[in-house]
Amino acid sequence: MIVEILLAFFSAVFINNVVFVRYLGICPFCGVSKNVSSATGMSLAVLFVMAVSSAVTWILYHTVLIPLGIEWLQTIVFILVIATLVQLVELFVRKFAVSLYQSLGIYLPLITTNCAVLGISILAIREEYGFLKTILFAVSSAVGFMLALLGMAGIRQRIALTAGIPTPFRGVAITLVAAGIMAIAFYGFADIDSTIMSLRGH
Amino acid sequence: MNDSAKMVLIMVAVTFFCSALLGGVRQMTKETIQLQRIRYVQGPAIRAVLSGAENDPVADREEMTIGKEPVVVFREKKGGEVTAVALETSGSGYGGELSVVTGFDAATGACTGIAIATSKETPGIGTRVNGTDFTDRFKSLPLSTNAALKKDGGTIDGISGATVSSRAVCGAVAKAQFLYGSINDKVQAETK
Amino acid sequence: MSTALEHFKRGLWKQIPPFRLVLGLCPSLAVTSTFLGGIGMGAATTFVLIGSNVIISLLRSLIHPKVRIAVFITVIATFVVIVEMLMQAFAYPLYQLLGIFIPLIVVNCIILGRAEAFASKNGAWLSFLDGAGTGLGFTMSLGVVGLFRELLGSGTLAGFHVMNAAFKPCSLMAGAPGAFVTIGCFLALMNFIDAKKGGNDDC
Repeated sequence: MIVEILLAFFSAVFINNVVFVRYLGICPFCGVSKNVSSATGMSLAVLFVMAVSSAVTWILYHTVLIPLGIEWLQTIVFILVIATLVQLVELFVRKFAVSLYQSLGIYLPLITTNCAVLGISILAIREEYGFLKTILFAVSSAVGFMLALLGMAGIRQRIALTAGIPTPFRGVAITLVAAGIMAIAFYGFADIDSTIMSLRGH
Repeated sequence: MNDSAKMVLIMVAVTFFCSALLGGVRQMTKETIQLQRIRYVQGPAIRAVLSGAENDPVADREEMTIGKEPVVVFREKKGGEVTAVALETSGSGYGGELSVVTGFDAATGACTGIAIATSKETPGIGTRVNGTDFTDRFKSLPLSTNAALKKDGGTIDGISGATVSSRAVCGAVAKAQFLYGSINDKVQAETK
Repeated sequence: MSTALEHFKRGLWKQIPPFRLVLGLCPSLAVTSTFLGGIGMGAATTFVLIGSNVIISLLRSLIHPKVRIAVFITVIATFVVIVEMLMQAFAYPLYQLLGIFIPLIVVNCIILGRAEAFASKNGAWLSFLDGAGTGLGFTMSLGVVGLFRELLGSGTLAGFHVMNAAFKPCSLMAGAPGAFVTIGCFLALMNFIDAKKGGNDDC
């Protein structure tokens, strides 16, 4: 049981990393990775929203959408839930964590359009995960997102100090190329989970 | 009308308009979508099992109620006669539901072959049951012999290291055999 | 009349997504491993763009600023669900290919961006043109990237083997690294071209 949980966590963080393998959350990945402090704040906010929204959407899907036979409205229901949740988070942060609110700026409401948040919620449904597995999946994926974001932020902080990036590449372009190289590194994690599983035998 | 009331009214109106639009498109496309789903999700498996068909088994499908369950029955016809019938059933695999299409010879009720339609099994391990070296083991299985792994008292060799997946496939095929048993006579009558 | 055409053309080059209008990167990376995937996603996004732009434009005088994001999202999501259904009904293989990125069109910043920046402030016809131009530009971008990645990554074009047998496909191109690097380089190329032209655009 513990092994399964650890494997699922490891899988979502490294093997199927939200940014480098699933291609989700790229816009904030490029936008907020300029320095480590804003990257940390954003990752934590995303972690919270992802965990709560995946739980709420799961409950809604299984207790309302399926019984009423309107699973096909999943997209519209989920995004409205996420938008509402982000509004609530924004109100909360504005009142209780003012410095965080100021450092995140416009990126806080933009969590609504973070495709990772909606994407993970939909994936959990498509993969037919149970409630607890969904929450584990969401939290692990958010940790993977944090890993990607912090990694990129650290790199960008370094690059900013040592100039020499050709002008056309400055900004998003070089971030993407760097991400591509990081993606190759993540290739190294592929298939580790199936190897471990086959060793255990099932 | 004050501001808040206006806001709410607009939201309600927009929601109403969108729901109407969605409902309308849904009605128009529901049946087509169901057909497409069968064609593309189960289609490849059905084509693999009813390989000799001169008709279109998906177009010629029939929805029957066996016991209390609705079952979709796909017919293979050669020269205008029904030669085989396929049913889709599911089993609980390692990663989730595993759906299997099983073919039955119309005259004898023996299994003509199986194919996996959808699965969530572990790639490289559980997915090995998708291959023909496993699915071929079900060929010629008589209707009277329940599909089961040798270690469960049956006749089928499971894939080593993928016992759960193999067992799930057997379970699905056994279910199909049970369902077919109820309509066996009906189908045999059609072949005469 | 000339302004109308300008609104259409703007999306085709000056503000072509995702390279000059740097939005909508997620789908750009994910679906461009094949040419058809890129074109298909572009077409679906264009459909939603046009639909949402027109409707939002028609409603613009009625939408209270406080609820405008909620209304935008509702309208956009409606069109996304419609395109999901239409694709399932008439292009199921494309639906299977694009997978989770079809519902994710709803959070494609391009659509929300155009709704906020244009459709909520202009008439229906101009909004239609803006949506069509932006969508067409997006489709072209995705098509070019998809073409590039598919040719180099799998040696095929729309599934057909095009490169001769001596060509060994570079599977990195079809995968994530190729996606990131290709789009990054195209973006740099666009920046370079723009700088050479004198950079007279607003962006």
